Amino acid sequence: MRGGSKSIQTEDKHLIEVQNLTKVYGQKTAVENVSFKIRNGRIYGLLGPNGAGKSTTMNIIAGCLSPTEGTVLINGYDICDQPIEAKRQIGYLPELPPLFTDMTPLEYLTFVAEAKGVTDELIDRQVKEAMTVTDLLGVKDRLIRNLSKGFRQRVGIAQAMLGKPDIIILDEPTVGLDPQQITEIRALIRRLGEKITVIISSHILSEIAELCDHVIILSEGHVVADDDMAELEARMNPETTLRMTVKADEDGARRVLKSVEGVRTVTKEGESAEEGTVTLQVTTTSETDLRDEIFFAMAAERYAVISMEQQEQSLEEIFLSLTAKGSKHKKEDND
Amino acid sequence: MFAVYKRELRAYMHNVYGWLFMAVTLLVVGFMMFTYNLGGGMPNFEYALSDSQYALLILIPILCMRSMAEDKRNRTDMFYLSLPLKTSSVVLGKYFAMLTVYAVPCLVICAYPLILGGFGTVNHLSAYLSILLFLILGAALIAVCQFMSSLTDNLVIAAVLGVVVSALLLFAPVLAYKLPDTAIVSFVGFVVLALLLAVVAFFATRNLNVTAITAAAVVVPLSVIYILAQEPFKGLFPATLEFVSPFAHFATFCQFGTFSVQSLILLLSYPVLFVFLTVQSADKKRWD
Repeated sequence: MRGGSKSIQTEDKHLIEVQNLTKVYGQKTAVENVSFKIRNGRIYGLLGPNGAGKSTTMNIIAGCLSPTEGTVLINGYDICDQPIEAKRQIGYLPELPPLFTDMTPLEYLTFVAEAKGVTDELIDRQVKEAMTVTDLLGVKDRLIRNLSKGFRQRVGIAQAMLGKPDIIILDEPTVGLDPQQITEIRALIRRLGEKITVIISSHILSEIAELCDHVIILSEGHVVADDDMAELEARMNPETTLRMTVKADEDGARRVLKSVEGVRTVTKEGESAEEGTVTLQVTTTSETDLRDEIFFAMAAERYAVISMEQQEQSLEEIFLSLTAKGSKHKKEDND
Repeated sequence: MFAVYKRELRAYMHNVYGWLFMAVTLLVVGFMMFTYNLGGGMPNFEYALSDSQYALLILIPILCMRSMAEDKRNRTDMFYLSLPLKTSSVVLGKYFAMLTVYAVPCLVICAYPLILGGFGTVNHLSAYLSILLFLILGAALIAVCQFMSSLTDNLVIAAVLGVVVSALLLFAPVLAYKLPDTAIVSFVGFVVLALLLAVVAFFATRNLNVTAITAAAVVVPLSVIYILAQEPFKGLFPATLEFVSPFAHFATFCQFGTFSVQSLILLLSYPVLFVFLTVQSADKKRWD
């Protein structure tokens, strides 16, 4: 997880306010009553399984789709009522980079800058800046159709940067890339996040965990979590579980553990592989790390602690737990 | 709009489409001029252009087929929607790019009456007015074919739709001539037109309710009027067919030298109407 380093003054500002967003395609409701706020100077992750409504939400924010209900305010501009002003605040890279393959990156980026209304004297500077950040200068005169997928993605990100938007929205920016390209694109997103607000959507949990300060989890068109990464992990881990193997008899080990303040439950975990040892699952309150106390309590009884590790819910487990809850709620609503 | 115009014009000029279109247009007009004027000895350059209009039936749909359909196919239509541009600017940028490609051969053709002048007496006013009308006729057809291109993401279907609708417009006066001028024929003719309009509405919206409403909006009032008074229907459909054909107005000028203000208004209303429809069709994606 990255650490935020933006000033408090800019962080207080809400760049995007999504209120009660609903989008219905024919009979299918893609997103329903989705609300969240995006603050300045962070990397936001929109996480959800396939079909959760991530792309629909992003397309509505970017002005490519109109909502059935609800509003999206971007820097105070309503995307439906003041689309031109609202879109000037955003750079958007859809899931498939919208490239004209008969152009070179230089020609394409110049065209996008013109289309975004960048003034003539700034076009060259902004295009060069975007190409420098995305490392495209070496291929600027090659036709886009001849570029690798990774470079095409860079061209897509470069076009999103033009016009100096306050927010860049990237829909599944690493899909279909090889591991090397994924690493490069993630590094690029991290660099962008140091300067402006970035929203990325992904169903790759490790990507969100690695890049984002804040995560919004969507499941079946509903927001099931909207928290800073650290807070989300803390909220989802109301108690800490320790797994430990001790050279002791089970009753003795239980007695010692029960004597340590903060220990809630002790359970034996199957048969221990080594003779004379016992493996236990110990749950404690999450506020305090009891590993030191437990170690010294065991040592006082001359029980040797062979191993002790703290087990926390990974983002993957949090995600699965939240999306399962989302599905359950929806099922209950339907019933 | 200018950015889109430049990008589209560049796309036509950087591949074979634009150049082929200009070359074939010039070839056709040149051949007709050779046949009627240089070979046939006629001093009227407008005769050559009058027969050249048939080539537009194929050439313009091919020029226009990629205009909107290619964006749909490559998903770049979503990109345009995400830019701080009005949809009308995008559609107009594309429209004027195609019009520029068409205007280039028209500009070259302007030299032909001067060349003919070297061989005899040419009515230059009539010749240049016919070239201007040839340009306006093309502008009308480009708008129609651009709209057809906005209905599909398949370039071939876009071209075929363009050819079919252009052919209907070309042969409408012939059909009008063959039809009896009874009230029932006019009524049935308008109902068929309403149904065709509903089919276009279906292609544009993929929505059965909109299709049904479009058909009903024309057929129901038409039926009521027909039940109340049949007299006004007599000969109305053939007259309408003859009037709406842009080709008929152009041919009338080329062959008889007459051209009315109504004809000019009709020819100019084609681009206005169909560019408007194309904007609606492109914007529809946002509401899908």
